Amino acid sequence: MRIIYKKYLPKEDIPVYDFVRKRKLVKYYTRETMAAVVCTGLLLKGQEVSEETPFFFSNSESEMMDYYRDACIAFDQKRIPFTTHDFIKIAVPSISPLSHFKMMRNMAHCFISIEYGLKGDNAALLGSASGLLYSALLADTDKEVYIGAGKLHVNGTAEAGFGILLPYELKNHRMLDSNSEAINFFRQFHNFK
Amino acid sequence: MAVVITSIKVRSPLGCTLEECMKNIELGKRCISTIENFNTAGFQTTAAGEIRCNGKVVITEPNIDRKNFFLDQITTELRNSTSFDKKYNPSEIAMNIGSGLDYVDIENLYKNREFTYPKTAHLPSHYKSNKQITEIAAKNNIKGGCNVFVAACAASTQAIGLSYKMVNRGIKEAVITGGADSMVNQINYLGFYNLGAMATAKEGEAPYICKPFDKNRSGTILGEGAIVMLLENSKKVKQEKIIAQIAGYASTMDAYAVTDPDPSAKSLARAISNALKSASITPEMIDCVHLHGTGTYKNAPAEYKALAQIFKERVKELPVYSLKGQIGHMIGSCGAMEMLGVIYSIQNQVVLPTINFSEQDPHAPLYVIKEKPLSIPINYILKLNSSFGGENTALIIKKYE
Repeated sequence: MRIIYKKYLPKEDIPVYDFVRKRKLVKYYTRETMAAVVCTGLLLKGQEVSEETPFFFSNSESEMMDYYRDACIAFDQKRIPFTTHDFIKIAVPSISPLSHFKMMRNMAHCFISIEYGLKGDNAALLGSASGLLYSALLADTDKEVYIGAGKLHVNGTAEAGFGILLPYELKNHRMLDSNSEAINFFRQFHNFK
Repeated sequence: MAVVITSIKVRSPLGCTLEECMKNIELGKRCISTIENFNTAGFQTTAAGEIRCNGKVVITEPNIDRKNFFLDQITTELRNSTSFDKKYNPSEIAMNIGSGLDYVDIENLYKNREFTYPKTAHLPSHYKSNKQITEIAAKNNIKGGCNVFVAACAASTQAIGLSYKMVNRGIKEAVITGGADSMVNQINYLGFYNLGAMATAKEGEAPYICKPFDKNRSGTILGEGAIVMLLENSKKVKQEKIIAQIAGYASTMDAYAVTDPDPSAKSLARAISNALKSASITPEMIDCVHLHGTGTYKNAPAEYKALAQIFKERVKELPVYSLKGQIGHMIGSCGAMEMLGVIYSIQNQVVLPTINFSEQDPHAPLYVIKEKPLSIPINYILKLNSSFGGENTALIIKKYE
């Protein structure tokens, strides 16, 4: 089992361009996705990747308000009393179309799969370590599986982890029934510098 | 030993009980109409499949996240009617649920600049999906893990898939699974509209009709719904309680594009092939296919190509069906909700007409049933779903004998 974990502070640069071939897609990335792509790149460096390798990824709860901040600012500038109708009319169009992709929970899973051509057994999850680890334990293979997780904090701090393991290595793991966030698994068990 | 569905609780545009839903599926009732639960003034499209009880839309306050509000109701109903937490050790029960985007109450968003509502609420993450679902699981004494799946339109079938594996391999005694999603609120509805997948209307046509597989389809229509089902080991349940058997599952990834399905449909075909292997059956044993059938232009040819790769010439005579014309596209709960159509087919041994379908698309020449139900012996049904993002799922459901 090889596990990597990275944490990037709010203003810290995430060197995502060092690890992507499909650079046009980076505009759709959140900082959580960027961190996950870096972790994946570091761990898969020099490794032969089979498209059949199962890949499971778990996001964390949304804490960032960036998607909607522009909408609120746009409405503030009109200096009129709030109504739902006016907010929709005035403010919502100011939300960048890119934000719609950033709000979708399976995007980190999707972008990493596209980057590495991963087409095997898979799942995109939210939150719990339990779901991520059971998905890997019960994957349709006895060969390697990939797992990953990310978290974007309200202040912009981004965390991510990525792991390469064999399903049996998770048997009886103490986090199998844990409802704690999947990123905790990577915080605790990372062993790759 | 078989993995079986023994109870279902539901809130959908079809109704708020399994009986009401089945009756409206049989009638082919169109449950999509102008949105009633929020003010759509200024919206360019205003249609959706909203949750109804006895034909009336269930209205909720703006501070209610509908997907988890209804999930809470039905999980409690399931517990009360089955006593699953008394039958099994709570730590041997898991909950796997497909979900969707976070709900945003825009007035609270604007006034407080945060998701939480109110700031002092007991629930610290009022609109956060994982937090809410975990609390629903805890409230219902489910202690074997709570897992939320978010692969958009494949989320709830990925949830059912893991649940099937858990019971099949003896990891869990019972699993509560399904999905709950509602994009029928201002921000998420507009966001989906901006993606360009929403049905449009031609002049003189009834507005916003979702037409799965039809040559003149123009897009999908959003729906909302929550459904939970109890999966158990057949050896531990009374035979008369068994609704259907889940016999196989597989998931694959297109890894092709963010927005479009892989036009070669090779990964979707591989999901079918792997699910057949998982169920230890051959393609000839599949009696009909309940497709994802969104009504979008690119979905139907991809599903046709996937079926053609597996079923070869038989694709011309293999009956297919989609429920989305009746209820809309429920995104994170669509696959689980569409299990109602699968179960109807198994219980009644018919493939129902796909409503709003009238003209075959030469690019997707599927055998879609029109006008009246097709009665055939049905033992195995293939259920497909594919997501915005590229996840594909294939479930095999069997008539339990």
